[in-house]
Amino acid sequence: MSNIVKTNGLTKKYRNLTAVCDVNMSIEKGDIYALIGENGAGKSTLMKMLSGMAKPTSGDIVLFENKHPEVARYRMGCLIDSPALDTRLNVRDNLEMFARAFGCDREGEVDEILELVGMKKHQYKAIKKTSLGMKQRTAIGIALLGSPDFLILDEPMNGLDPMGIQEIRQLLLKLNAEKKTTILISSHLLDEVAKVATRYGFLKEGKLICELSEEELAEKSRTCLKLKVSDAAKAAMVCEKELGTQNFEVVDAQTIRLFDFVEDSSKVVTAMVQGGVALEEMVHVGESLEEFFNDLMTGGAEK
Amino acid sequence: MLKVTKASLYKMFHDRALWLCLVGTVAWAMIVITAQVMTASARGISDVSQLANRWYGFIGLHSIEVPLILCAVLLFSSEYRDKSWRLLIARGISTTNFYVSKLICMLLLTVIISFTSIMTTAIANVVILHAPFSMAYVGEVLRFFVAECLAHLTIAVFVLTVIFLVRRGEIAVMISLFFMMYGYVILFGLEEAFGIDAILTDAWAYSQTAYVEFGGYVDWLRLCVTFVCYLVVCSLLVTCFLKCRDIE
Repeated sequence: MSNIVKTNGLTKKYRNLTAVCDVNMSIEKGDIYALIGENGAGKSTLMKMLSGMAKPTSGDIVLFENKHPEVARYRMGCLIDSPALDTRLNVRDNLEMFARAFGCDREGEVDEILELVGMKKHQYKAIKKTSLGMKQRTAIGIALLGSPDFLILDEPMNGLDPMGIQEIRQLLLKLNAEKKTTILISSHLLDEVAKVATRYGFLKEGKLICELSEEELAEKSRTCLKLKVSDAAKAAMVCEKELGTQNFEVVDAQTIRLFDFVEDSSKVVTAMVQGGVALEEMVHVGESLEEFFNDLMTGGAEK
Repeated sequence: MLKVTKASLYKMFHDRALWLCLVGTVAWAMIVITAQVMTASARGISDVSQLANRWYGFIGLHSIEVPLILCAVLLFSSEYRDKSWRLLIARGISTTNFYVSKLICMLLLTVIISFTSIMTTAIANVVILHAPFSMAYVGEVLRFFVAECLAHLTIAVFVLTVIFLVRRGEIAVMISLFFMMYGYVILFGLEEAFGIDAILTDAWAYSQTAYVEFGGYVDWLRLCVTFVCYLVVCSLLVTCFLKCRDIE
């Protein structure tokens, strides 16, 4: 699979602050790569460097396997920070102007985009009079002009109503499935991100501390039964002998996580009682992306 | 470059600022003509054309430059304020291409505003003040128009440079107006301090229309050289500045 983005030791320093530190990331064709991190973790700065808005202090960026990223950027669409629209023009004029600048001369493309982002009926509305959600839709529309192969979307769900969020999510999935558009997305709405992303990159204080595929994250955050027992070693033996599974993890001397029998916990209770293990507590645990992220930020999850 | 220029032109002609400035320019020219007629009538001057040159000087100095500065700032600084120019850079359009496209628009804007102002005045002179209409008159108006344009193009380059460097519309207006009215004070002071001839002050003066009078002598070479010098220096300054900085 070809690399759309590959960075090597990418670093950005602003005087005394290191916003992005030695990031080595790669995004492959067809990925929906979610960049996740706290405020100030360096997500926007990283995206700005990829899009040419900020110059790296050190390190390299290879876009579309081209070592001169400025040459390859015509294949990218961007939405970074707030929607950057010309407030002196209306919605349609903004799209028309950028379509000319990007060399998108296909007839009817602007109308298609307006339809796609749900701004057709507001096309003659002045940008000044539009809501944040409408601005966001227009900005996404501009990013989609020219059918780019790679989209960088920084907080694209910002300001959208629940219906809007759903529409944009479906649009991203459709672009990814039909046109194989690679997407780099960041959002604070982790549950929303989890619905579209196929790969995750976790940033903390400018460093890329963890990269996971969808499957790896599912593995790390899968549902289980968390048992608090009198003796975890004895409970482990019960799991092996009575329940016939090795799909468990001993967390500490009194805690064990069992990944099987999640939907059939009564069998577990019976086996523990028969095996002479005092079961003090049994909790059904299903770690979401949010919980995994919290763990990671507080140092709980492993790389 | 052509694509970005097309986009910039699209924006310029779809922005109300341009049309409002043109309406303002025509209105101002008409006010000046009316003032000429009223002044001539009050002083009992039968030949209004005696006043014309004085009024032309006034028109030339303010009725083109002021709308030019205001219109340019409204049109070109909004891209910084709204940060919309980032989208162009993110698509691989270089900052130099962006600047050149704006420069082309600015030069065109100068020609449009100058043409509107001078042609309104020229037509009103014939229709209202009954100035004799002849081929010689048309030729003189065109000569005056070209000379005015060259002088204003110099100012236009300067104004665009200020917009690109300060990125704040209101500050760009203040600096440009100050330079237009009192630039010579600073330039002459600098030249005195460095003990050099008044080359900069001279260039400033040639960028001002007070030196171009209707029917008067025009030093074409100096006008052209001044314009080219401003163009080269300002363009170098802006492109270097844009290359060194991150896009905010």
